[in-house]
Amino acid sequence: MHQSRRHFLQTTLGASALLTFAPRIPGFLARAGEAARRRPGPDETILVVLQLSGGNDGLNSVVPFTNDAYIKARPTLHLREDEVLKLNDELGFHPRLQAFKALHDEGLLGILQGVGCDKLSRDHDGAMRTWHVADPGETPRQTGWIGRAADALIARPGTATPACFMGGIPRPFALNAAAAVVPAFRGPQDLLLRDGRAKSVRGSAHAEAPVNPLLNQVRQAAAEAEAQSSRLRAILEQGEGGNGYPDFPFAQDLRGISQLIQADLGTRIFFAELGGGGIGGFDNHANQAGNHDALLEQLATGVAAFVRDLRRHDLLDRVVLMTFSEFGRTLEENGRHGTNHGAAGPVFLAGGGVAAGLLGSHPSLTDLDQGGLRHSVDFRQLYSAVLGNWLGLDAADLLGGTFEPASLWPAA
Amino acid sequence: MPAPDANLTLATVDPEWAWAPFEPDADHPWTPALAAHLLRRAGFGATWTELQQAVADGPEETAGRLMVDGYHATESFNPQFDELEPASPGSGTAVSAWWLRRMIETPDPFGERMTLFWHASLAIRADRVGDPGLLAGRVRSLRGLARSTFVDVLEEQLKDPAVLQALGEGENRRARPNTELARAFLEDFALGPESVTQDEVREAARAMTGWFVVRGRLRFIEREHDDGDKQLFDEAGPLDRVGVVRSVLFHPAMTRWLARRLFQAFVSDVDEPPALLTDPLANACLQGGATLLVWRILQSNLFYSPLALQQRMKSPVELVVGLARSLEGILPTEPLAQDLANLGQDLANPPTLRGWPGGRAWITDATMAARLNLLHELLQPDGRYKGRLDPARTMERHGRSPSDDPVGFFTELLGLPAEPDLAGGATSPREVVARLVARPEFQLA
Repeated sequence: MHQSRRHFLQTTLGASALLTFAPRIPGFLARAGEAARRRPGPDETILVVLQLSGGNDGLNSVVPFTNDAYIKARPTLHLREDEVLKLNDELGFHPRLQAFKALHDEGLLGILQGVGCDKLSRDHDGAMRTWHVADPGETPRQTGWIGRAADALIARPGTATPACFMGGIPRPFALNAAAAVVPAFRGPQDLLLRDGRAKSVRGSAHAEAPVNPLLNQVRQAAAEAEAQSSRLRAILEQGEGGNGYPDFPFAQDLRGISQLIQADLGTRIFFAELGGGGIGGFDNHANQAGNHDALLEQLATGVAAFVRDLRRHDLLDRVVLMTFSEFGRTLEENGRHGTNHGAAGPVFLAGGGVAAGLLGSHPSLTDLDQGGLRHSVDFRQLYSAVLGNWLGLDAADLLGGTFEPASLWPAA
Repeated sequence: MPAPDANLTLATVDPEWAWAPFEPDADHPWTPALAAHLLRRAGFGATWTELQQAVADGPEETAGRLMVDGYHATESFNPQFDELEPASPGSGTAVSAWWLRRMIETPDPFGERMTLFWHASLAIRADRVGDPGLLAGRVRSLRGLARSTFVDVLEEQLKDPAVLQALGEGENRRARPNTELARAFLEDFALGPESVTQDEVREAARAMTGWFVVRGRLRFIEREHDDGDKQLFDEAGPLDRVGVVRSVLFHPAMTRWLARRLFQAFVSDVDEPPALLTDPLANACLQGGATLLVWRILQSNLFYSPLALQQRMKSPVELVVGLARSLEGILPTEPLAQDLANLGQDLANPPTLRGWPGGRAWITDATMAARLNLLHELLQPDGRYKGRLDPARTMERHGRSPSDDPVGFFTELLGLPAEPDLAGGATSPREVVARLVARPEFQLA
């Protein structure tokens, strides 16, 4: 193209790169004319995974407050009927899970009970590795379950980032991928391009370079990054009031994820974490009450702010959120007002039309597995549901075997 | 040399022409851009002095200096650098930071480039080794092997406590042979998965029984060694660890596997290289003389053709180490190690035994934004990187006034194609470099 013509186009349109490497039309624009509530398309669903590090005490989260075995086994730690937030005549939330109770009462929170697996290690690293790797085969796999999903997602056209981690600990192994690069972010500001970037990225797009697939990809990604950055900047400016998120880091990570979802990055899986970073987290062997209470409140208020934020933006139907922890705790408290490493525990779910309320049955408190609870749902059934039914991926391939998906959605 | 056809692809190029030595002539002159390409591929990036020297010396002399002289230069560098090295780094990030500092400061960038190549091809994770000191030891050991044959490197893997620790809990008992180590060695390190069956994995595992890691050192416990007969490729008998190495020594897949990986590291990582191109390389080199293969690659027509120029994506480490070397600034590498990990290259923890996926996988919308922001941050006069990269000083160090055409100076130094309005009207050296590194071409190696 003639130099002066190119110059004309560049100054009048201001974005020659955007002509050649037009970013995707942002989803929220494409959807603007459609009915607000509808089933998301197969490439629009998003999964948010929250890791509760240290082994959450499920029994003091979803409390069997009338059960004698529970009361007897926990002389100092058991929660009384007049303390819990009742879900029914037998089970109630920990009093500090008030925000969960409110979500639950509005039909926005599901509780999948008794999730675990056979021979789950009682060692933090071993159990966490089991949840992260999620492979039934004997060969130790080198990738995590989210990483394998990311590998499947990057096989599709485009330059979207398949999955990312947001949090204050090193990227968990679940996100380890063989073919995809799964980045970690401190916050959404990592994706805001500084002033001056964009111009120079654009400035070179008018070079008539020979066909170089790598260069084309860089330009495409740079054009997308620029478009995403301006959408994100607008969203961050709107959200300066805080949008009801508490101040602690976990809630701020969730807020960041919500902002990235609103900016329509095309990222399908987000991973965040609560309890790590050297504070011992949910691993309460001694004087459990104070620390566990505080973490539960962080969990519930953070998740509630996130769910309401997404709902306000009409995005809740596109997002499924799930929690997990490497194991539950023992039924019996130890002599130090704490609990030891157990087995199965509950998983909290929200968004994406998942069924509200208690799902499955509460584990038995008399038929125990070395002091911990027996699982009724294998964690890979949960993964199978979110990978297959929700993200539309080949769950059997990603999990190295077929697992009956857990029933997370109300029967149609 | 015949004029390369504009429609040439890796699949259609004549292998004989491709691997014939590149001889500059009037039609294909030796240019600063080609010199920068060689110095970038073989050693992250060039300083102004190295670049001018390379332009004057030509391709062969320059490759020789990188591959041979660099090694001798470490003799005086090592004692001085070793004083700064922590005896036992406290974490994987500390190991990464220590190594990054070395990559930036070393007088032997080719040695570090090959160390990184081995680390990414025989990729052990710090979090599986457990002891970061063992990983640091492993990096030192790979550095010592930077110019060795593939066979020597492979043999050393079976003697490295970090490898055993990462692949088998440090125990290899007669009653329960460690197939993880055997599989990693045969499939991921030596031959590629297509050339190995489960029977061979089991036989190799039996041959390697008896080795344990005790307090960070290897120990052979004879009663735990299975001394029965085994059959592994062309080898049969009461094979031991050495027998496993011998069994891959003459396996044709070994040099093919190596040639493919070297091709992706030094020539192009756009697509899987065609066997038609990599087989002649493999055949030229029995027993995997890796340095010789690299030498042939760096001398070839193909290496200086459009099929190789800008046909590799820079990894995050290459992106930053190259810039720091060219600008001759010494960066704080602890925050750098974390930033690179966030971009997907946690140096101490490669994702799988075959390292980072590389190529196109490096660039997505979000990693692109994060790369541009990291480059921007590196060039700030203060902040996370303390203004250690100072382009005006780089110019002054080479006798140039900062107002003396900084665009021309840094375009040549960074090996970017010259174009009008390259720096978007910027005039200060810092601003010029910030604009130049934001160009898409800078992401390509």
